[in-house]
Amino acid sequence: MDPERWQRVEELFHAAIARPAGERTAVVTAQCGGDDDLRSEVLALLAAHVEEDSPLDAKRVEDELRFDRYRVLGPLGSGGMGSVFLAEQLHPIRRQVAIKVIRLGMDTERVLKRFEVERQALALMNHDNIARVLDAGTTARGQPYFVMEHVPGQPITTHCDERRLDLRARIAMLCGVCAGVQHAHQKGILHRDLKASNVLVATAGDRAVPKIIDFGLARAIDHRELQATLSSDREIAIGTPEYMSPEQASPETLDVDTRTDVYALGVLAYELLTGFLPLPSDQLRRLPLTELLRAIRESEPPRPSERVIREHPDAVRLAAANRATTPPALVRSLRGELDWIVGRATDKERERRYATVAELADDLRRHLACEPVRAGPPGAGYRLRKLLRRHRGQVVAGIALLLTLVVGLVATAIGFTEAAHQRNRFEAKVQEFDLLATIEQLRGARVRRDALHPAWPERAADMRSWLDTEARRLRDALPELRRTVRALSERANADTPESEHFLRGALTRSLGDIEGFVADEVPAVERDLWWAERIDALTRSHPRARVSWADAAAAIARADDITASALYRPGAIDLRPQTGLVPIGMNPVTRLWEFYDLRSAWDPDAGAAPEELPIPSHGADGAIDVGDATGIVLVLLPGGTFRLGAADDDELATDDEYPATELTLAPFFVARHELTQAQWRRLSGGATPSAFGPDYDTPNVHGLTSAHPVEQVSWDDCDRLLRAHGMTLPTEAQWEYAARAGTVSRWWPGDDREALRGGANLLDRAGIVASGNALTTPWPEFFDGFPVHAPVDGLRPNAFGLHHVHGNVWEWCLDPWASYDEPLTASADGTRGAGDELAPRVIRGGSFLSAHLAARSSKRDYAQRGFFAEDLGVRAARALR
Amino acid sequence: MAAELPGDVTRLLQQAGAGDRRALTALMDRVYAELHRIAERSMRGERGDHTLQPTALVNEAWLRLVGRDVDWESRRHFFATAATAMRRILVDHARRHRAHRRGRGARPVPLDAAGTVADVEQLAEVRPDQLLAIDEALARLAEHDARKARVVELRFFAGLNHDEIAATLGVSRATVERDWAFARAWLHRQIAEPDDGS
Repeated sequence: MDPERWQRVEELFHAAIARPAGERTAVVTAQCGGDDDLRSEVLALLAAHVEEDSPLDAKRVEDELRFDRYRVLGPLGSGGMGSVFLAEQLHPIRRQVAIKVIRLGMDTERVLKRFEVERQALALMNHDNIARVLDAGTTARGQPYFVMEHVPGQPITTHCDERRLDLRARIAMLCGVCAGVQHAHQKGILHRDLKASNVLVATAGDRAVPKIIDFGLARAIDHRELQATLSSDREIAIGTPEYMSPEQASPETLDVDTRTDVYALGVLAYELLTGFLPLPSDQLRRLPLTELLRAIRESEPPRPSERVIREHPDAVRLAAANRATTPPALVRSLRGELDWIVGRATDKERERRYATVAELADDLRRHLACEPVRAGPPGAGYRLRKLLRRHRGQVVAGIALLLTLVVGLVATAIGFTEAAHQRNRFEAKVQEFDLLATIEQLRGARVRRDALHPAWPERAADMRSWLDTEARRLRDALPELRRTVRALSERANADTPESEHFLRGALTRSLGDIEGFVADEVPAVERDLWWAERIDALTRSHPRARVSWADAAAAIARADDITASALYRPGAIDLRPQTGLVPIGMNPVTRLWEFYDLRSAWDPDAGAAPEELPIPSHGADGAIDVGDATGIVLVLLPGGTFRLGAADDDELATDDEYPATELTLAPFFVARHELTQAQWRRLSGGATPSAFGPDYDTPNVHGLTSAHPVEQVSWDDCDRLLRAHGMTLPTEAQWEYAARAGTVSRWWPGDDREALRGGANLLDRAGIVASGNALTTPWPEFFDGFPVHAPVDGLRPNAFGLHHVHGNVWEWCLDPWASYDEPLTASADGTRGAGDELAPRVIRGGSFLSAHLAARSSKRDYAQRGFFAEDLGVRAARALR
Repeated sequence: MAAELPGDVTRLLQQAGAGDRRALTALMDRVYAELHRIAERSMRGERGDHTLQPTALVNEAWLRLVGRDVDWESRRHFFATAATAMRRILVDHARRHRAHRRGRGARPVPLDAAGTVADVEQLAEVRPDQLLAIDEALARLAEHDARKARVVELRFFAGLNHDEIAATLGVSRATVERDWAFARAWLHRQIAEPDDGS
C-alpha cells in the first residue's frame, strides 16, 4: 500500500468511527467514490475496530443502547466503570433515574449473573442514606447497565467544602453515611467501593441527606476482571486506590468483609476532617501497579492532626477555612479522639479496626456528645507490628534492625508501665523489674560479642571477661523476668486492660529473646573461646599436616620454580604462620602454595576434634577433591601487576569496564573454590540459605551435594561471616587479578568463547531444559551439562588453580560499585569507592544463568547489599599477615 | 559517578534523553540484560507452561536499576526502552517455545477477545505463536507508520497508558488515541488475515 493510500484509509477510518455505528457503512461508501478496494479495506478495518471506552454521548446512547423502559435525557458523567446517564423511567412510574452503562470489555453474562445473586438483597435495602438500585439489563450492544435512584447532589466532600461545614456538621453527616452502610451490612451487602464520589448529598430545603450510590455494584463488577481487560487505565483496573483497603490490595487476601467498608469510611472521615487523603493521589497514581498495591498495604499515613501540620500552609489555610476554623484550631480539634477514631478505622490490620460500622458510628457519636471514645492511642504491640510491617521484606537489615525493634518495643512497653502505674493498675512486681536496663544489657552484650571475632588467641581474654560479666548478668536476670511474666499471665482475665496485654506480650518476647541468647549465643562464645585457646597450637603443628610452616616459608622464599613458583620472587614473601591455616603444600601444576582453613572444616556438632581433621592433598594433576567435609582451600597468590578492565578492542565490553588501568597488588590469599554450602553451614552454625542443595531433586536437577556453592547469600551475610572468621571478600581488583591468572584475554582460556568449554558453567541446554525451555542464550551450541551450579571443583581451573571464576555463580566483591575513573582508596588490595556505605556492591564472574558475555574477566555488575539470588555466591579471600 | 549509583542507568537515561545515541545503545543493553536476568530468575525452577509478566519484570528492572526518584523525562525514557527490550525478550522466548510446540496449528490472536486488545498482563497468557504473529504484524505496521507501532509497543510491552505514551512520543493524547484505534483495527485484521491488506 502506498503512503497516500495508507493515509486515505486512515482518514476514512477516523471519519467513520466518529459516527454512530449505523451510519458508518454509508459514510464510507459515499466517500470512496466507487473505489471498491478502498471501501472494502476501510470496512474491514471498521469491522475489526473495537469501541474505545471513551464516554459515550447521549445521542450515541440513544442510537446504540436501547433501554426498554427508559428515555435518556443526557450524560451525568463518566467514571472508572463506565458512563452514567440521566434518564426518565416511563413505566410503571414516571421518574428520573441514573443509568450506569458499564464499559465494554466486561463479561456481560457474568456481571449480570453476579448482580442477580445480590438483586434480592438489594431490593430489601430501604434506607434514607442509600440510593436504591432498581434494575439491571443489557444494551443492544451487549453492555451491562444498572438503573439507580437518581440523586441530584454533589459528592459529600464538595458539598461540605462549599458550605464551609465545621467538623461537627461533617461528623454528623458521616454518621448518616455510617447508618446507611450499617443498614446494608445488616442485609448482608457490602459496598466495597465507598469513596467521596459515591456519597452524594441530596438537598431538600434545609435538609441535606447523604446518599450512598452504587451499592452492590462492586460485587457484580469484579475489579479483577476489569484488571484483566483494562490495564491501560491502572487506576480503573484496581478500583479506587485512595480508598482501597490493604486486604483488597493484597494478592493473598481474596475475602473482604464489613471491615473493608469500615476502612473506606475511615478514609472518607480522614478526608472530610482534614481535607487531605491518607495516601495522596498524586503520589499514589504515579506508582507502577505493584508498587501502588504495596503502598496501600504498607505505607502508614500520618494521623489526621499530624497531616494538617505537615501539609503546605496554603493548603492547610484553605482546608481550615472550609471548616470554618483556623489551622491551629483545626489541629487541636483533630488531635486525640478524632486521630484515634480515624486511626482505628483505617488500621492496616483489619483485626484491629472497628469490627462493625456501628462501632465506628458509636465512637463518632460519643465524640460529638463529649463522651469518652472507645478508640485509644496506638499501643506498643501496635507500633511493633507497624515497624515490622514496614521492614518486612528487607532481609538485609538483619540483626541490627531486630535489636533496634526489640529495644524500641520495650521502651514503649515501659512507657506503658508508667501510664498503667499512674492508674494504679500495676502492682509492685512489674515496677521493680528494671526491664529496660536488661534489654540494654542484652544489646550491649551482643555488640561486644561481635567484636570478639575472629576467635583468635588475642581475643581469648576478652571472651573470658565477656562470659564472666555480661553473659552471667543476663543469665542471672532470667528468673526474675520469668517470675514477672508468670505473674502477669496469672492475673490476666477478660477485664485485663489492653495496655497490660501489650506489656505482657513485650515481656514474653524479651524473655524468649534472652532465653535464646543464653541457650545459643553464650555457648557459641564458649566454643569460640575453646577454639581460640587451641588454634595457635593447631596452626603451628597440626597432627595431620604434611608440611611445616617453616618448610613452606623456606620454599616460598626460594621461589625457584621447583619448590615454589618464581612468581613469588619480586615480593620476597616472608611467610609466618597464619592463624587458623595449615599448609597443604605446593600445587604441582601451578607451583603456587595452598593452605587449609581449619575452622571451615571443623563441625562442632559432628564430634571430630579439630586435631583429627584430615588435611587434603594435591593429586598429581594438582586437583584437590572437595567433599562435604572439606574446608576452604586458600591459594597464596603472589603480588603482581595486571590490567584491570577490558582490552581496548573488546567489542563485548561495556563502558564501565573502561578506562583499564595497570594495577599492582600485594600478595594475598584467595579461595580455590567458591564457598560451599557445607562450609557456610559450619562457619555460620546455621542452615544453608541456598536454593539448590541436596534436598533439591527434580527430574532435570538432581544429585546436588553440599559441596556445591552456597547461594542466596547477601553481601552483608558474606561480609559478616567471612570477617568473623578472619577472612574477607576479595576486592574487585583482587578478583579480576585472580580470575585473569596472568592473562589479558576476555576469559582466562582465551578470547574465543569456544575455549570456555570444560572451564565454565554457563547457561546451556541443560539449564534451558531444566527451566522448561524458558531461557534463551545467544550461544545455544554451548553445552556444559550442568542445569544449575556445578560442584565447586567441577570444571578445569585457571593458571592460579582457581575453579569457576567464569560462570557457576556470581561472586560478591568487597567494593562499592564505582567507576574506574574514581581513584583507588588503597593500592595494595586495589580498593575503590570507599565511603558510600549504602552503595551497591560489585559482583563478578557470571553464573549458570549467564551467557558467556557476562562471564568475561573484566565484566562488572552490581547488586544492592541485601540482594540475594540463586546464582549469586561468594569466594573467600584473606589478607597475608 | 559512584555517588550517583545505582545511577549508571540514571546517567545513561539523562544522556539518552539529551540525544546521545551511544548512551541510548548502552541503556538498551543494560535494560535488556537486566530484564533478561530477571526473566530468567522468575522462570527458573518452574516447569511447563510458566508465564512471563511483562509489567512486573519491567517494574523490577526499574527498581533494581534506578529504584529512586528521578525526573519524569528519565522515567519515561526508561519505560520506553524497557518496552522494546521486553518485546525482544518475549519474542525470543516465544520462538524458543514454539520450537517445542510445532504442529499444533496456529490460532487467531485474541486481540479483541475482551473488547480491548490483549493488554500487558494478558500478554503473559498469549501463546507463543500468537505473540510471534503480533510481533510480525507490528513489524509490518512499523513499515507503514512507525509511530503507530511504537504506540502499540509502549502499551503492550511496558504497560504505559495513553497519557504516558503521549508524553513519551511528544504528541497529544488525542493523537495517541487515534493511533491506537487505527493500529488495533489494522493489527487485528492483519492477524486474522495475514496475507491481506499490506
